[in-house]
Amino acid sequence: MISFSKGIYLLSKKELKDNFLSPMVYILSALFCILMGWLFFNYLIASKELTDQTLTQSILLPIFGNMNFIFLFLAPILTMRSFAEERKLHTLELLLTSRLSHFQIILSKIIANFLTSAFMVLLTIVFPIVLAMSGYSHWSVVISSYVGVLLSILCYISVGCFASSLTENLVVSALLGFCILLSLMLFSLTGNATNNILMAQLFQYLAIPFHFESFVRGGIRSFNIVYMFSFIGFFTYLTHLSLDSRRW
Amino acid sequence: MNLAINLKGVSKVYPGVTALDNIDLQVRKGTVHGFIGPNGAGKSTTMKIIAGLIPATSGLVEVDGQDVSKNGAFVSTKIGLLPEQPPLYNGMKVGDYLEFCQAINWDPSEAKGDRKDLMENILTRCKLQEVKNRLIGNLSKGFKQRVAMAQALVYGADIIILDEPTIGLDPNAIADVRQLIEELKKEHTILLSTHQLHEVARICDEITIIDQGKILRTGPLVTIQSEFSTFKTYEAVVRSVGEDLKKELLAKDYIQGFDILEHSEGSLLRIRIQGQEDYRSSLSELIATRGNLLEFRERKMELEEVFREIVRD
Ligand SMILES: Nc1ncnc2c1ncn2[C@@H]1O[C@H](COP(=O)(O)OP(=O)(O)OP(=O)(O)O)[C@@H](O)[C@H]1O
Ligand SMILES: [Mg+2]
Repeated sequence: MISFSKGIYLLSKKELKDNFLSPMVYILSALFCILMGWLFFNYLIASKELTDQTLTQSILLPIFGNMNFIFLFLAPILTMRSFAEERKLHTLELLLTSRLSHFQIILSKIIANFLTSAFMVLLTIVFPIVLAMSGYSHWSVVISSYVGVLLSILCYISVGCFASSLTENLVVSALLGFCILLSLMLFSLTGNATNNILMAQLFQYLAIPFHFESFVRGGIRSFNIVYMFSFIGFFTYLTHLSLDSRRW
Repeated sequence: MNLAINLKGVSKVYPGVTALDNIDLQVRKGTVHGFIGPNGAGKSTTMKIIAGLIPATSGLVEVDGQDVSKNGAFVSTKIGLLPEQPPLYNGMKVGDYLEFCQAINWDPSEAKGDRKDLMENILTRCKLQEVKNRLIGNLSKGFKQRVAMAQALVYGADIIILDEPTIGLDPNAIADVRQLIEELKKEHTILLSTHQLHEVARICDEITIIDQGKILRTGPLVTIQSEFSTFKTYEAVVRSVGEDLKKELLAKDYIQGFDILEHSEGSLLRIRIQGQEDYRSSLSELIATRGNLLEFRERKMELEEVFREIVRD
């Protein structure tokens, strides 16, 4: 076995190169920036009217909420190629007959896509900087929100990779990823439909936004972190199963 | 142990299709083993199973004495596989791609020599030096095939499995591949599947013929070929074949059968003779008087016909 980290390093480096050599990342980044910039601008204008709210409440909270929501769409598009394309071009055989284990392959894909998304998220760093110029100084909220967004994106990406491992078709892969993510979101709505408080809390607990909000509100609990990582672990395992069972 | 590959009672069932039915296959170390069979016979399936890419439904698969299902990593460095569809990343440069392939298969504890030396060696052997810095996607089919072959060699595997390496290549490129295999023969064990039977006859020491998931024949090439020289074949080129000639030929009890084929100068009469006796003079005389004999020769059984005979049964 190649040492675990070396294998991941080799493959994720290649994946990252692939990502940044394709026009997709730049198109998505441009769209993302335009959308976020426009939203930020609007919240900024609106915040003048809301004099009773802090900048955190009137700008940062909605901005991060939107960013999280936009990645619900972007993550499956970013990850759709990971396994679907490898399978279609038969290059997956190359990886599967190498010394890399399934988990190394899956983690490399997740890491490469995560770093690509992190690059996109990094572009929004201008917003807090703009706010800082007008005297905003709640940096802890900014940092915990970024951590929250990134962790939440990591969850989306693990779902996207799983969806991609199920099919050879890129469009199907992206749609599938999106559908899984959306239904996970809807868990929190399902919670409202029941009178059973335990059920309601269970459903709420299973939805990503519930945990994401803890980060943005600055009230991170240990179970938020546990949830995120068990979520990623669960989908990594599902991807492993799918790679294992769907062999030609 | 001098078996490089050892399959015992291996079956593979895809949903609804039995691709392999209880096959045994032995490939001895240091041989070039030809694996031939009609389309859909199960060649690629067998090769994928040996390389550990898909699991066998049942049976034992050993590579160099090690069970494939238990020693995935060992097998992956031991075997270099050229799959049926070349696994190429079109967006990568040839050099980068080969280095990547080398890195993900390299086992430092098993390594025999320097990585860089091996890489240079393979690049030169596969005649890829000139395209080292080009994108794989822009190469011609022949070069892509060479890159895919280099990919199987670049980490110094002992056993090379080539699934139709000459598919889609021009005659010169096929000759290059043959030459490469002949060079590799010295240090490697090679399992080769192809539909180019005359290539098999030229480079293989042993062959296995498979059809519909069953092994029909396996063994040294010469043994299998001589098994079929129990009958001789004569060929006669004649202007035309009349009914009376046909009748007379059928009347001879030593003639097992004959075919009449198209020929540029008339017809080609292919006559199969029972036993080893020489009937050349009497036959040629007969045909000369009945038809218009232009040419008469004895024909050696080519592998292609051996193959047809075996698969027909
Ligand atoms: N993934 C699969 N699912 C179902 N059936 C399959 C699959 N792969 C192969 N088969 C079937 O298994 C049989 C053997 O196929 P295989 O590809 O091994 O043949 P082959 O000898 O390599 O043929 P060719 O010379 O055309 O390459 C075929 O009948 C094929 O239809
Ligand atoms: Mg095949």
